[in-house]
Amino acid sequence: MKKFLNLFKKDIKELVTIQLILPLIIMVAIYGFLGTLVKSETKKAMAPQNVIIVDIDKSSFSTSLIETMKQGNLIPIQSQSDNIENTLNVAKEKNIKVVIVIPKDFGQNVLSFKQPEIQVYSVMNSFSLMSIGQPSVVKGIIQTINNSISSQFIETKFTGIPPEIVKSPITTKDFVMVKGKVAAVSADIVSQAFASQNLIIPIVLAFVIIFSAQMLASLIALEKQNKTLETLLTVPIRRPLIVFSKMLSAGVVALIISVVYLFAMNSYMSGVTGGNIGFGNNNVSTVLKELGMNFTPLTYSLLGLSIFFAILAALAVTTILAAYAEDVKDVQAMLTPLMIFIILPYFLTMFTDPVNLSLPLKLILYVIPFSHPFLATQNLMFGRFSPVILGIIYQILFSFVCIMVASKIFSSDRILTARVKFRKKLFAR
Amino acid sequence: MFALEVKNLTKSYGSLKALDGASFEINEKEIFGLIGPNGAGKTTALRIIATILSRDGGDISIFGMELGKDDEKIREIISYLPEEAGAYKNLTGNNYLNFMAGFYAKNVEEKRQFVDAGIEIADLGDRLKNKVSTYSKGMTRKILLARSLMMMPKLAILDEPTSGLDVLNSIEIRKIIKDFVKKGVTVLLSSHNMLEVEFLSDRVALIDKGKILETGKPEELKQKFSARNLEEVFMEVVR
Repeated sequence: MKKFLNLFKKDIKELVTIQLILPLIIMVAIYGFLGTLVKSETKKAMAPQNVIIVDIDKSSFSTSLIETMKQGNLIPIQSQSDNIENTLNVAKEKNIKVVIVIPKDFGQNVLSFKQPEIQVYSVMNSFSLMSIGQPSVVKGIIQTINNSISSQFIETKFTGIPPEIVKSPITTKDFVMVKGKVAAVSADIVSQAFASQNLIIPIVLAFVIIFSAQMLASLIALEKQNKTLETLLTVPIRRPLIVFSKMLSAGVVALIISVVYLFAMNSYMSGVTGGNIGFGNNNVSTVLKELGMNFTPLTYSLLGLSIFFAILAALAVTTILAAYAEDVKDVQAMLTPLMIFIILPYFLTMFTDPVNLSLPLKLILYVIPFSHPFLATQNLMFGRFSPVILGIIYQILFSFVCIMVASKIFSSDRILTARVKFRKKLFAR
Repeated sequence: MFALEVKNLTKSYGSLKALDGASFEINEKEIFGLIGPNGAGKTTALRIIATILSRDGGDISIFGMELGKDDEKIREIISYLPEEAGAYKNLTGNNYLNFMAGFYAKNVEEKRQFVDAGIEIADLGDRLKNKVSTYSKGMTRKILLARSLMMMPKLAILDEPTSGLDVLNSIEIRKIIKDFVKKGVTVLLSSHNMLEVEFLSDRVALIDKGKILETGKPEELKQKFSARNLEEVFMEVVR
């Protein structure tokens, strides 16, 4: 154990270099900065904004329209002049983004069903949220006013009937049934809730697998490149422990990096979406809980096992591949096929329903050990435990065989004599 | 009991026979030189003895322990310095010695003793606080030799110990090796520099095309072949 810890500490030191830490800090800082920036811009866009009103009509109807705007998210400022061009210049000078023109006879035209126009001028000087958001706020308010006016008209024509019924004589009520449980909610909302709740799992997984595979491969290739491997193989430590130390250190560092990346990304996403996507959204949790689609200790454990064995399988395959790399440059070429096998199930499970895939694609998906955690999330949510358990058993067998092969390579001549010279082969073509 | 006994050692890489029935013995506390031209099979023999390559045939015992059966125990009493060895570039000289001592020391006190010995052998002063990546070739070779000898292995296997070094560094490393044998370490070294081996070794074996051609003390071999040095002996033997 002491010897293993000695090697493990060294392997961690080899991985955690300034070249690794510096980009990580920069990335976290950039994501944090962008998140804060977007958040503050969104906040600004959501805050009540000034709009200039050119009220040419000056009727009681136009006055009531301006009052309604105040109840919305706008601060109407009456223009001193009825000249649109002058008013636009004032708006430009005062950095006011929207000018609303209420035309002459507006009130009268409304009452006589002539559908008058309100002109909305957007003063654009950038494509920021502030610039593009205001006209839609104004249009939203006008929509509300339209609704209110039409309701008034309906009330006068259909006395005693609520205007909403006249406008929509038929309505629907959505229900969703999952695992025999019924909830009064639409399938869209459940699907969105599930996606937003579980968005993070495949991303974490893909990150961890890719990072750890790259780190492990570099670690092994560095031993060869720095010509330290021969010495390491003669020190009194069991060969499987050498393999295990490298796998564990790569896994631990990759996990830490992935967590840092995800927190940085989450802080950015929270800024962009105003907190609708990210860890622990309560509304989402309630919908899923109602349908029994929330994680229980059992489902968490099964998903955890599936993720763990996917990472282990990736590390074991990487160890075998890296044993054939001559130096760190070869590692990238070595890992390309592995990356494809990690990204393929990620996209297949994200954009398709695995059940509806063609048989060859389905077989490919199930044979790839990294697919199973991506599949497990959905299966566990819908109470399909058997495919998850079978997947875990397959992953265990796959990892075990690969680790045996990797340990064999490290205990044989092959670790020193096996070489695949990618660059030379490429140049030879 | 011999420190090392090699009997009928064979090893092939595909159709190439690297070792073809090589046999030799080393006594305790002696420097034994394996000399021969490039590609003679020296490094292959050393790698097999150091437990990192398998053999096709033959028997090897190290201080009574059989290679292939007691490899993990053998690794506790040997140290191996490969010809093209390197050290971990992110570690300082001190860290590197500490790391390597960690595999052999039974407790903190012993580890400290090993590291102190390593610092003395390397004789790099304050440069031990710097990363190995900043070392010259001579300094790297010194720290690697210090790593090989600091824990007083029963058998030190040194492949071309002065490979690529200038005269001054080579002399210094030869002196370190000689001094350590006096402390009780047995040394098996290989070199294609026959004059160096002649100076260092108590006994030598001449190897070519995977076969041991002659074994004996340098003086005896020179007398036997009426030669002035081992280079001339080698020329006579392969003729």
